[in-house]
Amino acid sequence: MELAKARLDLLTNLARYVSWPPKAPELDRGVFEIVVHGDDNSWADLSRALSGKVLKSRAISVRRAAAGSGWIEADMVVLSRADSLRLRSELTNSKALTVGERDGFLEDGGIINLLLIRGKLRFEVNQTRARQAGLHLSAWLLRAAETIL
Amino acid sequence: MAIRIDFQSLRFKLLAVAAISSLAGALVVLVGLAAYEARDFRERRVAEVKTLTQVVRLNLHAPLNFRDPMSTEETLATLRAFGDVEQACAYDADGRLIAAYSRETRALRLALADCPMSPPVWSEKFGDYRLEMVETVRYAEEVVGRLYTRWTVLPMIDRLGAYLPFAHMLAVALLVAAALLVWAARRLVTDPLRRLAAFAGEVNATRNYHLRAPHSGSDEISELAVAINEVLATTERNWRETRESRDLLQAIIDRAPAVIYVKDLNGRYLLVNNRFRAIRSAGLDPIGKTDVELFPSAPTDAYAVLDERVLAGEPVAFERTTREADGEHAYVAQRFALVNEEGVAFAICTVENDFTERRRDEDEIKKLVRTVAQSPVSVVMTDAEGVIEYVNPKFSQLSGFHAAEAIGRPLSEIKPGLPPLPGAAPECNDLEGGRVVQAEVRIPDRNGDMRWESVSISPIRNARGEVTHFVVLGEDISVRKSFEEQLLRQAHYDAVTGLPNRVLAMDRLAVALAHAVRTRDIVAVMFIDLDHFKNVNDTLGHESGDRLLKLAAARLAKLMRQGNTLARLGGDEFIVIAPGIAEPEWADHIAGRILNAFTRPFELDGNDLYVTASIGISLFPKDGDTPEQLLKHADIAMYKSKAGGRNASHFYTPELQSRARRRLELEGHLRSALERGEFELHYQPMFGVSDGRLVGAEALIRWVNPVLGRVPPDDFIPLAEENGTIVPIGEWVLRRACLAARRWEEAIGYPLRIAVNVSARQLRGLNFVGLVEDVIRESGLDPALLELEMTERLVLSDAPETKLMLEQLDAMGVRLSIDDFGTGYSALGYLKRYPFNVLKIDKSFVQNVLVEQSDAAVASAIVGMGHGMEMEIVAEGVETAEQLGALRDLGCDIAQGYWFSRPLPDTEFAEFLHRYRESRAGSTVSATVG
Repeated sequence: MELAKARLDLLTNLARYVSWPPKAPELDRGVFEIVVHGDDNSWADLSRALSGKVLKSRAISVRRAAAGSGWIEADMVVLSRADSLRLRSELTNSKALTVGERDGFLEDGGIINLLLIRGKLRFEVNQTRARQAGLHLSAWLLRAAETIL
Repeated sequence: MAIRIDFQSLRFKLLAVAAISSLAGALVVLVGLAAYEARDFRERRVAEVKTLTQVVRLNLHAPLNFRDPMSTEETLATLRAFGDVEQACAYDADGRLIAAYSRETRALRLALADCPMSPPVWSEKFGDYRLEMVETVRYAEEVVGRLYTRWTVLPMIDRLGAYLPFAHMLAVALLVAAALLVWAARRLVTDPLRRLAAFAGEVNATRNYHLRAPHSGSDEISELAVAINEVLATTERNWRETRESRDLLQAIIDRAPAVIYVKDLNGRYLLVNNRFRAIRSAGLDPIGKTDVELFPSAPTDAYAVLDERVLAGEPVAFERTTREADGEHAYVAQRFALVNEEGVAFAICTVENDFTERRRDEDEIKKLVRTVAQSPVSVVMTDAEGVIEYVNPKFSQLSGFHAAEAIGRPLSEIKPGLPPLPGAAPECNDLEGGRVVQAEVRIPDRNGDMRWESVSISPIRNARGEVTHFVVLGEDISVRKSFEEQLLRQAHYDAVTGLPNRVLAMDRLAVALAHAVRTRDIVAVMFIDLDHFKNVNDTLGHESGDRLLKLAAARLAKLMRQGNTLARLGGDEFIVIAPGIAEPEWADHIAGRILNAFTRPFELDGNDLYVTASIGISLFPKDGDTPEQLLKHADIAMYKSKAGGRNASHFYTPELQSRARRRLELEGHLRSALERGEFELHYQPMFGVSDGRLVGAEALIRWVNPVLGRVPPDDFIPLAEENGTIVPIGEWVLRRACLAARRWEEAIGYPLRIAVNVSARQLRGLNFVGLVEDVIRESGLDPALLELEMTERLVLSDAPETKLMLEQLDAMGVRLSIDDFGTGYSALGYLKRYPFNVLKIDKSFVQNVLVEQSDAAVASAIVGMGHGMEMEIVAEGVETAEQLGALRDLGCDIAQGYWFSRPLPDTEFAEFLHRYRESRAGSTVSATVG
């Protein structure tokens, strides 16, 4: 439970230290859109926990992704272990901030991978991939990361 | 110990105020400075701290956002550069303590322990020698967490300490200034005020409102003194006015005859007058006291219950009575409230007027009214014109007029016959002169019945002396009048016969004589005495006697002509005055008619009674020229008629006068005869008829006077009976006879009885029985030898005393004898009731016993009846042998008379006894003895 809450806080805090390029007007729906893949229980309440909150001066909108679709307009994509494996090809081309939670996620093209080190939730980043996706990662974020690729 | 500042002196107050204010001032200055310093220090320090924590705060968001305690701690540790930060603590957005820094320790755990569990809500806090601050850590406008820092402030304390010496100096300076202020205030304010207070105290104590407070200058105290002086002036004026008003009021109420007192609403006396002091407060000063204090023993004002009404504005009146030194007093009291200008009652005034006198007067008037109303006298009051204004019930009762009928009518109409009132008769000077008119008048009542009234009419005057009313008092004197008439009658008329009495008779006689002197007529005076009237009274009683007198008077009255007067002088004596007689024979003629009138019997109690009269006549002017003389002479002439055998009339003659004079002479001698021993006893012997034996003797009195010579008993015995000398004479006879009888017994050898005559007057005398007893004892005579002779008239009176006396004598053994039996009424039946032993037949029977057949028969009957009653029969006056023989034949027991012996003087009787004894020794007596 504590971990779930910490994970949620970390997800939103990470977003605060990331800058997105301006969106194409046809894609901008005026919300900060988070797409969740996977039916893992730990993600189950993500939608409910973040609904109504504001991030980057936008209301957060959380939706569960239908299989293989909906990445284009999303600002942030949260992937379960299984889905991150299954959608490995989409990770490499994604413009969204992708957040996963498995070894090799960064190597597979993910941008931020959450780690659990001695009971504490930490993270690592793939700055190269972020740069490719047009995202700017703050120095404060990089300084806090365990490792930077 | 608490000090009440209110009770302290002004000086103390001033001192206290100055000291407190000095110290307070010093304190305020110090505190102000310190506060200012502290605030300045704090502001500068806060600004300083904010600057110092700026770097930390700016570097803290990322470690907090990414939940990196290590980074957080490192960031906090940068504060080490500032020596006076003691503690720093970092919290995430949810208030969770993330990391801590402590100047004292490097151990994170210990540092964390010194942090608040959650970030305080305030931003800065100054105290306990510390400054604590809480700052918000932001990133991109988002609250990331909070930073708590704690700093020491010891430098500031050091700075403040530098102020203390200055503060001490300031305090001392202020205290000195305060003392100086107090000293000045005392000189300038307190002392003058104290002098004013002393002055006010003096005024209050002495009530001397003339005093004025000294003052100078123009400060407030001087103004106060001036104001006090103005108040004093006003007070003095008011006090004087009040005193004058009060004196005036007191003088007025003291003058009032009423009892006046004023009480306040608590019942305390505010004002009383002299009369109250004199009567009620008993020498105590009531002012300021209540009734309970004044009269602890007396009940409180019983009328206090009225005060509620009084205070409500309703004056009340009541009556009360009090006991005072001179008795009970009655008061009429008025009680009312005294109100001030606002109309509020502040006192209750009571005025009590003594109306004891008036009530007494009223009572007197009521009493008078009742007296008049209930008076047994009729009272009428009229106005000056005689119109009735008032009548009392007695008037109505007497006159028959009700008050309503009488009032308003003239008095003369209701009471005609009254002396006129001055209005009706101006000549009635008495009333006009204001005097009372009194009269006895006959007045008709309403029904016309006449009454006698004693009337007095008095004028009533008003203060100016004018007659305004008349009061007419009337007393019914009808009864008195009739009594008076009756008295007049009784004074002049005889009650029994209704004839004029002696007084009126003498009056008429005087008138007749006066008239006769002018007309030269003769006036005859006839003295009439009924014969033996005394017997009628004795035998038939006084009532019968009175009836006889009435009948006789009526019979006489019929004979009277016009101008004659028939009167009763008393007893059985009448008088006829016949004026205008031409010849003396006319008088004789009248006397003849009177005697004739008495020849017919009087019918009394169904019996015919024969009564005759004896008349004596005297003539004016021949026999006397005064009524007394004429009456006396007629009386003498009447005695002549009596002496001549009664039933006759005699004219007065000078010779009769001399005889009457002799009678007077006789009486004079008789009174001294006993003392002079002029009486002697003669004894007539009594013999048994059958055997001729001497049985005793009758004692007979004889009187030989040196002047008058021998006076026969018939002459002097009636006289002695009349004047009472018979009593001592009888006693003498009794003693003498009894002693004689004793002597005889010795002389003759056997007892002889002695008969003694006893008159009625003697028997009626004082204790006759006692006398007999004494005489028997003294003489030693056997009572059975004493024979008391009395006439039958005595017995026939039938008096109870007589019967009792005779029974007592009988009980003593004395013999009782009826004398002269046959001459009176011979009511033998009466004798049965009395203890008589002897019956003496009168000598008239004895002498006629041989001559008259009828007398013999009567004598025989008497003897028979006497024997029938076991009585001894004695015959008197036996003069012949024939008579003795006849008496013996009749059965008489004893006889006496000249045939045997005349009455013998004492010595001769002794000789007789002697001879008898001698002769008796030989033979029985059969012939006369001497």
